[in-house]
Order: sequence, then structure tokens, then C-alpha cells
Amino acid sequence: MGAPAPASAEPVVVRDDLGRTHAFAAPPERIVSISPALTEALFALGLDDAVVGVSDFCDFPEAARAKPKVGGVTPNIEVIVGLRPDLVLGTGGIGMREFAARMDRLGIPALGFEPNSIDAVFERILRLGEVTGRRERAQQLVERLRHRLDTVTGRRPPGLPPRVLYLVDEDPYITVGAGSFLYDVLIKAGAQPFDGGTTAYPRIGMEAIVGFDPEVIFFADDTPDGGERRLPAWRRWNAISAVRSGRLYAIPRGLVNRPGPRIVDAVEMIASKLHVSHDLSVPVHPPFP
Amino acid sequence: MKPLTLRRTVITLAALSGLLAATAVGSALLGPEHIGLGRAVAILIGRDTPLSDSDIGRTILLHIRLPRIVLAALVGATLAVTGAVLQSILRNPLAEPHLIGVSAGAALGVMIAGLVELPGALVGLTTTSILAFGGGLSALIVLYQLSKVQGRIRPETLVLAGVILNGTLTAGIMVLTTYLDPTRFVGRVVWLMGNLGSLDLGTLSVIGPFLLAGMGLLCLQGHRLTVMTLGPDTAQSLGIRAEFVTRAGLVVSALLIAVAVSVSGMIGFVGIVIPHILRRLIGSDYRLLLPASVLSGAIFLIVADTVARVALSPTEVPVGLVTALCGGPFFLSLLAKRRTMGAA
Repeated sequence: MGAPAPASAEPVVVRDDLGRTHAFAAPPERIVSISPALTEALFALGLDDAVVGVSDFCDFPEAARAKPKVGGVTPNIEVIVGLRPDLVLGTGGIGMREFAARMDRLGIPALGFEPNSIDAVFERILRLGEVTGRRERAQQLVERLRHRLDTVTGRRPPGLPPRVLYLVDEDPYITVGAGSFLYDVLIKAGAQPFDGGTTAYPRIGMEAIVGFDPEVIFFADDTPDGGERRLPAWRRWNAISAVRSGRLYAIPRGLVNRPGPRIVDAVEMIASKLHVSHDLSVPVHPPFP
Repeated sequence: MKPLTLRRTVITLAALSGLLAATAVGSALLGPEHIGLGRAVAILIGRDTPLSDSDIGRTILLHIRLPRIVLAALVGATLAVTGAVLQSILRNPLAEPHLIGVSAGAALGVMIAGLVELPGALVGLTTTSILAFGGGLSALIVLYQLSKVQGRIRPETLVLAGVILNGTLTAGIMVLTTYLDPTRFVGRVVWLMGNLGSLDLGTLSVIGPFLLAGMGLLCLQGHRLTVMTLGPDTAQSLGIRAEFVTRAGLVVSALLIAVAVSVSGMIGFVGIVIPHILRRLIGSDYRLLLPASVLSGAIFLIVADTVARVALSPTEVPVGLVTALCGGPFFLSLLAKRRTMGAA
């Protein structure tokens, strides 16, 4: 574990994805996180006690569930102020800019992080380590994650990557667009994802799906048997390779949609489904050793 | 406008039918995958020979484009004809299918479908469609009870109740959005903006006859609904059972709207734009206006859905946005033209 930086050291200056800069003279001791991914990162850096509040969506690790809740889509400012935080962490989403501006007026430092690739996730974890005085621990964590990621990419079977469709929703069909974070996850896992355009969540028609002819289809679904359960209904689309070979799989939403430290778990999980015919058994590492 | 003659009725409806057929064929040939006319005909009469094992032309034409065109035609026709009927029985030119709260009830069902999953799918309908129909039906029952004043349906009360019901149900939808996973939320909202791509021919064969029968019933009321635009008292004095026509028209229309919304989302503008354009072109006689609305609504929505499918392919635009973006300005330009001609 990295030793806490002494208070007399140079202030740590951090820039976030909203283009905001904050100088921290000492590591924050009371942190509120309204992003499930950053909550996971804070716990992974061993900052369990420093986290004083989380969003309604923060459900991992188990200890995060026990933390005081500050709301969901629109966090409750009053509750946050009541927790007397010296750092509030959020995403880089649309509402975050106004939210951060309000925090500024209340004199509470707020940072928004929105990584759009796995490399960016690692980089944000390192930055978070800087701010919180856990630089070494963050470096070790990222090193481990990078090693696991390299292991997955190193085991990719030769030949063309399989065509993969990832469906966020099915009525209508909604997939992920190139340039989005999830798209990078699929690429790293060794897939050739459906390119639905530049928007984050493009809506597509069955004709485009049949035309692409995916070899594997993933569904955002928290139930483990979600793939098999869908198979009977998908049988009518027998023109699709994935349907003929029964390669429909469920991937938990909370795992893949979160640009946090468990993202490598997601890559490993997807890769293990993709390359199953090559008998590639990817060991699942505990995310927080 | 000249009085309605049988000759004019037949010519108008024949022309619209021809246009509908041409639109349907044109739409069937457009899409990301190229399917030529000759090939399409061969597939339809079951005489095609697949070009290769991976040939998907048949699947795309018969199982993707065809159900979608039929559904667009059915929903467009339903929205247009119910819009015309509601404008008559509520004696309100602004009346349209989404005004009376039934759509909002269905929309609430759609949002609930983002939180629960019904076990198994009944007759091929999705959880979303089933809950949407339930929501629409519940809203209809509430609306009907609220609009009865001393045993009679009062149009003013009905419109007022519909608007308030709409507002209340919309608030309910907003409450649910806070409980939805953000990625699920995208899908729900997109569904509500119009979605014609989720039914197969099997499901269509269940709801199609229902919608056609309902529209047929409404079209047979042409004479009565024309008289009803003069007001219930005048209609009564002319031998029309105004109260019965109001009730029957309301219930049949609302049931049709609930079914249409539950399989397609909230597609706006068809119900208000089509009847008004037709009134300007062919007059206000409901004996012609209603069947013409059926055909024109079908044409309009097939065109709009083709644009939605093809414009930004492979991404699809919600069809409700296309109808609003095309229908709105077109209707406004029609109003402006009338104004400069001094006829409006």
C-alpha cells in the first residue's frame, strides 16, 4: 500500500474529463462517488473508509451497498453536502457539468471521469491514485489489470476475429457504436463487432443484423441463462450463424457497462465465450486480491 | 366542395389503393440489402432459387420487410381513421389519437416493461406490447367513467379528462425513468418514439384482423359521423342516436389505438395531419373521408417508415420522428398556402 502523501508536499493538480482542474493540498478523506465505476475503483485502491457516500446504482463491491446513498440519476445535493465531502466524483455525462458547477459554488471539489476505452480506464485509475495519495497502489492495480488483458489478447486464436453483435436492448434492437467504450471492450476481447455508426447506442433493424450475420450474439442481461432462454424465440432467424450454432450469451449489465477495474473481468468473460471452440479456459481472477 | 357522388368515391378510393400498392412495392425493394424487383416477385410466388447457401434475400423480404410494411400500413390506417372519428365525435379539430390519454396509458406499460419480464410470450407478442395494451385499456376505462355526466358522454369533459390523464400518466412515466438502468432507459425511450420492426407475420395475423374489423366498423359510420359534426342535438333531430354513436365511436377508436400503440409506440401526427389534408382535398363527407383516411394513413406511414429504415442505415431513426418532421412542416405549409389564397 502506498504511504499517504505528507501534507507539506506539493499540491496534486488534477484535470478531469470535463476540462476542470483542481489542486489538492492533501489527499481527500471524505469522498462521495456518484459513478458506480469510480466507486469500484476507490474500493480497489483500498479507500473503503474514505468513501462516505455512493449513488443508488453503486452495488459493487458488497461493502459499497452499506454506504450512505445520495440518489440515482439526479443526486441529492443536500444529502451530499450533509456528508461534508472533500471530493465528489462523477461521470463526464451531460448532467455532470451543471452538477460540478453547483459543487464549485458550494466549495466542494468535484471531478468527472468518462473514459471511452480500456486504456483510458487504466489512465483514470492512475489519476485517481494521484489525487487520493494511493499512487503506488494504483500503479500495482493497473499493472495487474494490464497483465490480465495482455494474457487475453495473447491467447486470441489465429484467423479472422468472429463477427459479434452486442445487444443492449432488443425491442427495438440497440447495439453499441464504434468509438464507444463497450466497442473497445469487444475489440480487446477478440471480436469483430457490428459497426452501427458513431452514436453511443445506435438503434438497428433486423435486416442489418441478418446482413451482418453475427457468429456470436451477446445480450445485456443479468441472468446467467439469458442466452439459452432467448434461443427458442430467435430460432425464426435461422439465417443468422449465431442462432444456428446456438451461440447466444448473457453478459451482466453491471459488469460491461462500467468503465472501472472490473472491465478486464468483462473482457475475459466475453473472450471465454468467443473462443470456446478453441478450448480456451480463461481463469477468472478475483478483482480485488 | 362538390357533393359526394358514387363516381367520385370510386375514383378517389381506386387512385389511393393504386398508390398504396405502389408504395408497398417500392418500400419492399428498399433497404440495406439489395433485392431487385424480379427476385422479389420470384420469392413471393415461391419460385426463387437461392444464389448461395448464405443467401438471405428470402429471409429479409418475407420475414423482415413484409411484416414491417404490413404493420406500418395497419398502424398508419388505424391512427388516421381514429383521428378523423375523434375529430367528429368530440367536435374538436385538434382531437387526435394521443389526446385522450390511451396512448399515455400504453406508454406507461412500455416503461414498466423495462422493469419486469413476463414469463413466455403470448401469441408472439413481447412483454412490452402486452403491458402497453394493458395500460391503454386501463386508461380507456378510467377515461370512460370520468366522462360520463348524468349517464351521457360529454365531449368537453372527455377532452379535459384526456388531457389531465395524459399529464398524470406522463408524470408516472417520468417517475419510472429514475428506477431504470440507464442503458435500459435508452431502449424504452426509443421504443416510445415509434417502432414498427418487432412483429412477425404470425403475430400480425392475430392483430391484423382485429384492426381491420375495427376500421371497417368505423368506416360504416360515415353518414352518422358526418351529421355528428353538426352537434349532438342537430344529429338527434336528424334521426341519429348521438349518444350511441359517441360511445361506440369512442370505445372502438380507443381499443384500436391501444392495440396500435402497443405494437408500435407513440407515432404522432398521422391522426391529425392525414384527416385535415384529406378534408382540404376531398371534402368533409365522412363516407369518403374515412376510407380515404385508412388508405392515406397507410401510405404515409409506409413512406415514413421506409425513410426511418433507409435514411441513416444501418442506424434506424424512430419513425415517430420522421412523421413529425415530415408531417408538421407539410401541414404548416398547407395552412400558409391557404392563408395567402384567402380561403382559410
